[in-house]
Amino acid sequence: MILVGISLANMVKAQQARIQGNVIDERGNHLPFTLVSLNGTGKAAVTDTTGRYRIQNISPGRYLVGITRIGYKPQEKSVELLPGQVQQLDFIMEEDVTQLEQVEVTAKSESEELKETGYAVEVVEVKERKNLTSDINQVLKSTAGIHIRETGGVGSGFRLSLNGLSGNQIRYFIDGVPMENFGSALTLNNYPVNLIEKIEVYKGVVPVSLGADALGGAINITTGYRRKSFLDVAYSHGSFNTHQASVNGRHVDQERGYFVKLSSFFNHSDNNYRMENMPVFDLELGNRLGTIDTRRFHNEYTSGMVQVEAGLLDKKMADRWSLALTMAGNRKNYQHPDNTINRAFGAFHTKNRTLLASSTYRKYFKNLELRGYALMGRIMESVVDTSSRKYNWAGDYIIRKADDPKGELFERRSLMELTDFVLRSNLNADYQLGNNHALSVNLTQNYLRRTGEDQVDEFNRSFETPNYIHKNLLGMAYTFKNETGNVEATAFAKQYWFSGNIITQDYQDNDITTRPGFNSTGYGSVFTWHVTKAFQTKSSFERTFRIPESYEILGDGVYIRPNPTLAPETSYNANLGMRYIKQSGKIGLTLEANYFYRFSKDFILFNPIGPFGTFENLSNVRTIGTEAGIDVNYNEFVMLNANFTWQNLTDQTEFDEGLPNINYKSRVPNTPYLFGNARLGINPMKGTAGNNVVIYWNTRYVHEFFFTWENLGDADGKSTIPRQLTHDLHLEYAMDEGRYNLSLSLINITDALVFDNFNIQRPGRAIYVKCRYFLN
Amino acid sequence: MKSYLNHKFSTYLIMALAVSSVLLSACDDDDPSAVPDDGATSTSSGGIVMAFKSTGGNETEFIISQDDIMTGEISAIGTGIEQTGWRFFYPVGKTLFSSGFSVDNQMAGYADNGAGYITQIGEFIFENALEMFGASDDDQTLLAMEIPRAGFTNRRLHFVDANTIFVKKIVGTRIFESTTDSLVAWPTALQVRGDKLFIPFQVLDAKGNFTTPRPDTAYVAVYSYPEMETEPLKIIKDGRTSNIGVNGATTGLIEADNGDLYSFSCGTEMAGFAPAATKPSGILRIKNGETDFDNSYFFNVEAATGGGKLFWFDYVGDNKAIARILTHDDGGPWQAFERNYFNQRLVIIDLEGQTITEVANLPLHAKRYASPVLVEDGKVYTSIETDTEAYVYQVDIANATATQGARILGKTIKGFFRLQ
Repeated sequence: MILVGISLANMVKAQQARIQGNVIDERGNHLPFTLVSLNGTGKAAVTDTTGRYRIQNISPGRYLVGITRIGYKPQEKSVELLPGQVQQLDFIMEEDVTQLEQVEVTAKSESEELKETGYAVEVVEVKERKNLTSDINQVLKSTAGIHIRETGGVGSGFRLSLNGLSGNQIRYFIDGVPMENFGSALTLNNYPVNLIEKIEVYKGVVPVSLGADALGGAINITTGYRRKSFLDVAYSHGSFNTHQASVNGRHVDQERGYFVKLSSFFNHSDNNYRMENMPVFDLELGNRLGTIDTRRFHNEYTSGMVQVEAGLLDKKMADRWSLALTMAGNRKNYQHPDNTINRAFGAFHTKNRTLLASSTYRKYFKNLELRGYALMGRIMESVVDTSSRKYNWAGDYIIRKADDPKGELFERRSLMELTDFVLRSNLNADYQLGNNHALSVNLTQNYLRRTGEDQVDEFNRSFETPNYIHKNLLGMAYTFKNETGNVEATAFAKQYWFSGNIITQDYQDNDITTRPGFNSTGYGSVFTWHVTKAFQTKSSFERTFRIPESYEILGDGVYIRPNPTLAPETSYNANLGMRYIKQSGKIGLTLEANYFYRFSKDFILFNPIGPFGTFENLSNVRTIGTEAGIDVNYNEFVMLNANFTWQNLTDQTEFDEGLPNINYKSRVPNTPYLFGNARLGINPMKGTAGNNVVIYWNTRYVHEFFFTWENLGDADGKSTIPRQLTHDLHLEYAMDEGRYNLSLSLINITDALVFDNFNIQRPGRAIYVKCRYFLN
Repeated sequence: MKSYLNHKFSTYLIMALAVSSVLLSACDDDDPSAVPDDGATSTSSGGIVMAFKSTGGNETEFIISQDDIMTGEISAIGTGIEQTGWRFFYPVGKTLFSSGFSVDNQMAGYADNGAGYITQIGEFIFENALEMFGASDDDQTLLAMEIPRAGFTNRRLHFVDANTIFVKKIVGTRIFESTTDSLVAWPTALQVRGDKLFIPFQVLDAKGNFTTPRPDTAYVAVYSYPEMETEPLKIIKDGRTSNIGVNGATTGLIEADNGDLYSFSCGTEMAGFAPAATKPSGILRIKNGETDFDNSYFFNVEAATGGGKLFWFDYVGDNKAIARILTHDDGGPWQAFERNYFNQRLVIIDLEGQTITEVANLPLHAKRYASPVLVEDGKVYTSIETDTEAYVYQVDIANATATQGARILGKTIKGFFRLQ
């Protein structure tokens, strides 16, 4: 506590002066409950929940203003006050790591503050994983309630499920901007951990500030707004000729109030891992010749991204205003179709080119915080099936006859180019009414225009005529907090509007224009009660929607017919959770448990009609589940965390096209229902200065699950996705206070044969080495 | 207080370690394959074998078997060989072929393993979905045709050994096409008779819309068999009725005991015709030994039923066919493949006598796809689905009466077979 007074000037009775200001941390977050004292006067104030303070009735003169907050370095600023003056004096506090370790009751980090709200939210700090070879999916995978199913190695297709809902029922954000339709080069599995700071996982109930039609929750990745210059350069190399490189750097000029930032990644992998018992078929006739063990030979993946951002800080018009330009692209070779390994490809691939321009804005007024973004982008995806070669798993091929139009995947060779133009914007206002009340309003707009052209197949007319869909969302929330701050309640409502213009061809090739449109109202509430300092209960509820994707309404222009009457998927989501946190001596413990309930209706599924089909609202699913986690650390020398998730998804569709559904109330197949993670970390050189060694052991378990309905068919002949048990070992060595870092990762140490999807094998044992340079 | 807490924490630590050791605890067998190598299953090959489609989810299909299908219920609960995706089921002799349509481009052959169980005796893969099927007269060969949907390209006829499930040869043919008028052929049966193969077809727009620009003529291409040419020997036409057959039905042309061939023409919008035919729905004949339509024979089914249109038929012996009639064509495109209009009626047709008898004791229903029928002791089984129920019915061919059998706890039974 540094509170030293220096000077006092004339104490002549005159007009009294006043000082006021904001206290924020390096990331721009408001710091409430910070003590601001006017040295030598006994006058002091504590910042409110928005980080504001005010000290009145000060005699004019020269003062030293000191601020202190646990977990931060104390500061002083000198100020000269003239009679009647209102002096604005803002502080940016720096975290004090040494202090954090010494005090028993540590200050709350931003993540901790989020976890203390009533939302069922998981915040994954990636700080300690930045030395490891890892992408966002790898980090998310170990989170309770999340399961990610991958079809292969680097860049492969994946499906993330969160408390039972999955795929596009979960919405993704990067720094609050929706990532949907950003293209295949900007999906989570492309991002190395070095580019991001933390991942917020909202389970089932999503705050209005993330304006989205998220049916089952949202995942927000933050890249950090640290007001510090830094440079993070990393490169990793390992099995299957895998390279992963990233550059993340920022230059901040506090004096002049601007920053520039560069983020970039590059990924490449041959993904040529070994496959066991692959069927080999005769290329001419299709007869089965036998099986072989072989390496994948056409599965290379390459992706890259460059983002340049520049912005202004602490200007009158904005506390933060930035412009960013993002370029990304990839090329992905496919070894086989995503749903079967019967056929092997040797040429089929996809390409993506994405260009995004965005601007973000943030400004604090007196009790009001304004945030907003605008984004436009062009995303091109090409599907290239132009080869007349036909391959099998032995790597042999034949060349099809000149009059045979068949491609590797499609019936006719094809080079389909889909171009999406997206325009998104958002405005968010948070208004603080005294200490107890807060109001939030969020307005989000999301427009997508799609055109397509097949350069090769003259008969493919998908998206020949441009189509657009437009989503709008207005959200409002009110939050109440009691005086002691141990009870907080939020109620919110969201209004969704959807409109579109769709031109398709009917069965006789006539153009038909449809203008689908609807609006829906969602609502929810969040409540938390800190029963004691260590024990918190939370509950949340939301009725929410997912507006159909463009292809679900529009079809593919060929065999998937449009369905303009398609309704949104809707879900009632509820969570009931508790947390227990205790630090005692050198032992820290966190226990968390969450019970979740989802009742989701009108799931959109494909319904075949003759040789055609449409997406329709066909099924209802209920999910009941529990997840629990434990986190123990001893003096940061040994850390152990473990979690498990059990979820029971049942089909609640009583009738199927009028007939009784035989699977009514049965467990939904092809969905994992029991899985868990354990992670043990040892930091043997803890406390020694300069260099550091950390060892991590990760274990993941996924219980066997059925591919189709459990109760149907012979028990011994049923297709299953077998039990998965994998272990990873990571060693990292940091030198020169973390400036130079080296790590070794052994993935799937036992070389277990693992499948996430039916019959589609995932990579076996792999080794990666990573070096990282970090300058702070 | 402190030591008490520490004691508590060490308990937690032990608990946590226990949790993780449970997670770490072993997994010994990593065998991913569910079906043993010899292909044997635990589904009986005795009784009546059925291609069963369940309700809900992805409507998974199963091959099941049951001795008595006239009482109780039929379901796949705890029994049956799981199939992948929507499939065609086609019997050749004592082999049941199951051909993947929507997911896996794979054909499997199932047969009795000699010990009373169904076994998968072989498989092969193909390029585009096999969508039309037939069999050789001696039941030793399955004929299966890939039919590309768009463009001018070969329809590839696979000759498959019914005992080994080996593809012996593939012959590519266009059947018929007109590049100037942008027309291609969509086969609606593969009917072998002696040394000839008859392929009736719909004339479709080459763009792949399944539109029928020339609905008002019946067409059949005639080939040599088994030495099939890439071009038909000839194409015969008849203007008395519409294009033969319906998408998905393999029995556009059937052979009677005496070697006469009969075709059915539908021509309705509900069965996928766009535009619908203006010619009446009816039956044509190609007499035994002939390769031309019999000018003296046309059974105008539409006139005989007061406006009904044939949607499906199959041969049941004694010069009779079992058939489904659409009582109207007011449902819209492809709606006969849906479950929105229950306007199908089952009839017995005397092909030679040109009479039609409605099968008694049956509700109006909707039925999308059926494998070739199983006829035993003058009786034939069929799956009848109304808006709220599905039942097996046994139809007495001679009397044209139906008896309700077991309740189907599923969406439909696509076919009934004997493998022993």
